[in-house]
Amino acid sequence: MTVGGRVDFSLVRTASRETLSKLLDGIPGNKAIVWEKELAGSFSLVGDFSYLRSHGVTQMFYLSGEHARSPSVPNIHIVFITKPHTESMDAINVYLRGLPEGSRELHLWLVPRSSLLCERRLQEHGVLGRFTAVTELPLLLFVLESDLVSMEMPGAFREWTVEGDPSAVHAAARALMLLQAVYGLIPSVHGKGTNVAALYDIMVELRREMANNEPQVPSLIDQLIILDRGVDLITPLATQLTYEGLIDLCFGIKNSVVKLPESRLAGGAESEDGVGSLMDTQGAALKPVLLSSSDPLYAGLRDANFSAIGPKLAAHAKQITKEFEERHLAKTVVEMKHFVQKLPRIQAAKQSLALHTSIAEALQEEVGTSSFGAALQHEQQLLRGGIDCDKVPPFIEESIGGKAPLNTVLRLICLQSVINNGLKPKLLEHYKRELVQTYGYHELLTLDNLTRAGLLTAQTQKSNYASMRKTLRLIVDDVNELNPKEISYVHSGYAPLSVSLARAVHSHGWRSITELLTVLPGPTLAEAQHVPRHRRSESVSSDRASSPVVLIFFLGGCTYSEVAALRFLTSKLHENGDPEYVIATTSLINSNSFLQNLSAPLQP
Amino acid sequence: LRLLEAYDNKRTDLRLGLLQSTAECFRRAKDELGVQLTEEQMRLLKCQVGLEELHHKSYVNLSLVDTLMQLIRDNHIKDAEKIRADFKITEKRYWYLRVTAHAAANHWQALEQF
Repeated sequence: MTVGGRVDFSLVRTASRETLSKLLDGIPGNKAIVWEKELAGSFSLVGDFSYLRSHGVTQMFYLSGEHARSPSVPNIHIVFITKPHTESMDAINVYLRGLPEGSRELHLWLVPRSSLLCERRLQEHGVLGRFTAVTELPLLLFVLESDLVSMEMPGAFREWTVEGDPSAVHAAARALMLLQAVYGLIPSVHGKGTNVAALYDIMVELRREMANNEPQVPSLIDQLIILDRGVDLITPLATQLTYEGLIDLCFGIKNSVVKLPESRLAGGAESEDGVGSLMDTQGAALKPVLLSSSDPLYAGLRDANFSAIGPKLAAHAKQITKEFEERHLAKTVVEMKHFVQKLPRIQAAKQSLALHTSIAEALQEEVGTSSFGAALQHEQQLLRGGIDCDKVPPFIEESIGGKAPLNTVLRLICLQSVINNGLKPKLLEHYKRELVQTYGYHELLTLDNLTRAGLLTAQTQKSNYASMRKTLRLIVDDVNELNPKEISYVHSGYAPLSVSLARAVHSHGWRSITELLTVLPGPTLAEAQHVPRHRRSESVSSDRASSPVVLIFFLGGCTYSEVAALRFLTSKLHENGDPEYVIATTSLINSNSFLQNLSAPLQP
Repeated sequence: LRLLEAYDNKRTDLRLGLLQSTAECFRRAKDELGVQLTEEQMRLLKCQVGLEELHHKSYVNLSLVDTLMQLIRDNHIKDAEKIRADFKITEKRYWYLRVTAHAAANHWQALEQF
């Protein structure tokens, strides 16, 4: 996937492993780990169970808000690994009640940083004294792919828009510092959005704290582009049409693992370790499947438009059959031996083919429904500017009347609002009233959150979406979904605004699009970090002919379609003079999870 | 600021009072729509409590539209008409509702009467 592959994030994984093992080895003897559930998944990206076992971990439990179930754990040390939330502390308190006092040594590790509030909370529960140590475990970045790291902080966007809590920005700054520690100082920094300036200030501050202790690493990344999600609210609301994006939309990908309903799979897929088979809330059996580019078939499929999946799978099937047929041609013993050697690979390919065929079938079912199609059509019309944004489009009216899923309706209304730079006050009022009357009064809070996040607002200025569309060429009419030439294939016509922006910035800096920038929310940032000459690696200076590397940081989440678009540009590297892109984000999102995150968890 | 709303979670009688204070908050925040909607919710809640006593069925916690749906399904057309008048629901919405609700409850005769 990464063609040049000059920057490989597996170094980050190595660094995280070192941090983790250092802490683990700091505790002698056998250990048991009690995980907060979310974190356990993320940590499987750092090291699996066998890795942990080699560092003396013999047992693992989940923190589930119950008493310790097996107080007779033979381990002496118990390590709690949680996020620094007070709720987690409450859960620990409950858990500890099931443990006889003073029998074991307890440790608490907070990811990614310790918090006074948490310690205070433990103190209130009267259990703080039972811990031998409370430490922070600074694992900020989880490597999803060689060109993609995520902080796995899905709540980040909500935290600073709705709750006004900027701690995620701080964490992001530290994550960027971590990246710079591994890959060297990034000479040029560009950014756009409300939180970007604050983020950069923290980075500068952190650098000053390090003073002269900065790691002497040659700079491998040439440019950093920080984009606040608030700049491009359109993309997360649009339907992603890449294979990976659709899987995420329909089933939800977490830590590169998707949990599929067992009934959908025709079998043949090997179960990945990690967490093992889990049950979902409805009790249907779910099968975790690891999705990563280590599977060559998936590497080719993940970023393709969904309509290209069928032909690709078919071609692959043919390929496998052909290879299999070769055994009839094998006559001599040497040829036979050669074939037998290939056999395991072919078997694996066959298995993965079966898996992806069934996934594609399941997706097809989903995509084929009339409601999906109608919503998509409406969305595309909106993006093309084919709908009068000051009126209630008939489709929305029908959806509310028919009580379509709230997320779908909200998504389309928000899209209308964002594109139109806010809705006419009267229309907004009408929407709010209709929504509250249909879906219940408690949704008022959700609507309020959306307003604060800038997704559903009253119009103050005229919309400039039309000019934006033209400047950045967001809409391409005839898209070749099978053999894409433009990044817009990821949404079948709409090119992600964020990616287009990043592209413009890289090639011309901010100057070329100054008009546009005044329109988009938040300040613009263009800074240079001075890199001492001796730290510029020779490879960079001599390799100037080859493509530069650009790190894009999505503050507040990025979608799989954006990832796909950037990868697409990277693959075209030598044709258009695009740089090699690597991506970091606070979390990976899709339209559902994005809105879900902003909604208020209030039950009537 | 207005997160007082979260108090909505409490049980019915308490809830009216809490809604009242929510409305107060909205008023202070100069959110006209919020005030209106909250007051509407209070009226709806009162309605629902009344209906529950009348029909011995649970209506509280349903949204306005769902309440109407339920009423029509159970053939309490008169109550439904009354709520419709109270809450000023548009003609189109209401008829759409009635047709779906009748259909869902298999009141084919009622449907034919239109």
